[in-house]
Amino acid sequence: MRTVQIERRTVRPFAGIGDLDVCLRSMSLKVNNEPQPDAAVVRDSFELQEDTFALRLQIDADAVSNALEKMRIPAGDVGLVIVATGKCLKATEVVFRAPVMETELPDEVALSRTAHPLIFGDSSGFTVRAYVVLERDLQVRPLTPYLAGTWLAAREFSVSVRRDVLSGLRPQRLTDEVRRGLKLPAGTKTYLHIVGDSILESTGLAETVAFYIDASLFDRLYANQSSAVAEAFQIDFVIEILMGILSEVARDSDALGLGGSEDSVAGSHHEIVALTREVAERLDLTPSELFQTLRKDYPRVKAGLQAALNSSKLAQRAIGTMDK
Amino acid sequence: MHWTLSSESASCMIEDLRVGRARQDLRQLTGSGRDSRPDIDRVCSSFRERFAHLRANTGREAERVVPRDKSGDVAKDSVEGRLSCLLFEGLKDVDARVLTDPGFWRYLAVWEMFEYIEWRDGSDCGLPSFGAGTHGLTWDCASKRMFVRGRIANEARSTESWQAVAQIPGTDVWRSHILRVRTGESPQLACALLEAWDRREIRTKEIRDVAKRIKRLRSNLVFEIMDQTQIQSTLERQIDAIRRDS
Repeated sequence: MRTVQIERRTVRPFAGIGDLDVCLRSMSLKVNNEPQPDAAVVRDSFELQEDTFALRLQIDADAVSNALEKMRIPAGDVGLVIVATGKCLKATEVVFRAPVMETELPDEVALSRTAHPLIFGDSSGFTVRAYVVLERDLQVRPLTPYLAGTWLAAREFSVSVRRDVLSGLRPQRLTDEVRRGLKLPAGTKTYLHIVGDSILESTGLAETVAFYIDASLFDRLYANQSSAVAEAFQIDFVIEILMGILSEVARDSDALGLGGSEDSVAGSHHEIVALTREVAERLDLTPSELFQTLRKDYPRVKAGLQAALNSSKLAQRAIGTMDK
Repeated sequence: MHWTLSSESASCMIEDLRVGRARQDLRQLTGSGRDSRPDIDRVCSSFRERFAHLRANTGREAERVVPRDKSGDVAKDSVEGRLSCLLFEGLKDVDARVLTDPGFWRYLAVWEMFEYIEWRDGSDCGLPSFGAGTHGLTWDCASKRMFVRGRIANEARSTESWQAVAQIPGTDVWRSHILRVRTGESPQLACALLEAWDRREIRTKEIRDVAKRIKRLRSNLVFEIMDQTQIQSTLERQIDAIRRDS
């Protein structure tokens, strides 16, 4: 019997639009005058305050022109726009805007801290998005973009402060004060608090997720960090955190009607992408397969994580130390 | 140079204040260069004076406003709107390194605005209202959310009308549909949504669906380059679509 795999994806319903994607491929971020091979750059916090940034504008004009011609979109109605956003305060500005074909584009656009302090001076980093975009409304035609503001090609660059993906998820003490604030019953052992409405819209996991452990248990584990029992607990806590985050991503995608497209939905959220990839790799799945399995068979993903993280062995070792 | 508070220190100080213990001074001085503290002290002093005045008049304010946002107290959110303008105007020229330091917003919330936050979010409100309880700063942090509320209104509207936009009450609209999501990155869109809400062009039961449709449109549209008229007509189409579907 042939097995047919079905995968849902968000498809932009515009004929020929894929041809435009290539035109921004050569664009790159420059840090201290050095072009970066990756679109996501991570810097130490002390470097971020001193670094200079620029965006190298290498547009494949022929690719743009051919694609627009195929789509029967007048080149004069299409612009190149660069929008930048600071990660802490959401300060957002259009830092560059010009017709994509009709002017001599500069070689690069400076991302100036002096001109845009709340964006490029943001101590949490910033995001820069380059778009080839429709500048005017066009006549409505099937399979052709017509609304002003519709992007035809896009590329995203990100500058962040160095931190371990899970560093923001250090457990916190669940004191009576915190427990009451979160309206949790006395006797709660752990709680994964997802702050805010949308994990996919957040700028970082540390801002969205807090993992609490009952204060007395926390203190005992802290005092006996290297004991076998504490290690077994810690692995189970990691599994609980990961399952909670992945479930929230799936729930959030479903709420937006984008279930099955988690790869593209989480595309701009680098920490979630990194976390998802890491878990998927450990379970020998692709990210899409991971979310499919999570929806269909949640305990299976949990079992996979237990196996990948040696949870059973650690628990056995912990019990072994108690027998002695 | 400015005061800052870590999440752990903020949690300790809140616990002290809530059980009536004398608060320990766990503030840390950080940064180099110009000392921002005198400017910030002046803003905080005006904030407290204005809050005391507005608080005394909240009852009268509540009688004037017909509540429609079930999630919050409309009169309190109206006060938050006014104080957001004061906070934004007072702090907007402070160094970006201070304004983008999570510890600074925690310091403001716990050291300078504790009484206001307990009044606004409730005396049993969670630590995130003070920027504590999580490693990062969430949009529940009152000091940060108020500054950004003022900034969004100021960027979107003229000098005459921005304060009116910042003062549009709607706890849920501001927090769930603007600040916590990418709509907050487009001040024009955020203000169009708020004004339509304020004019009651969007019904209470429709706001979540409108917000959801806007989120989905983000995957195709760059709101930041759209003008007020284009954004307005996009928003109207979403409202119409929801009514057609229901």
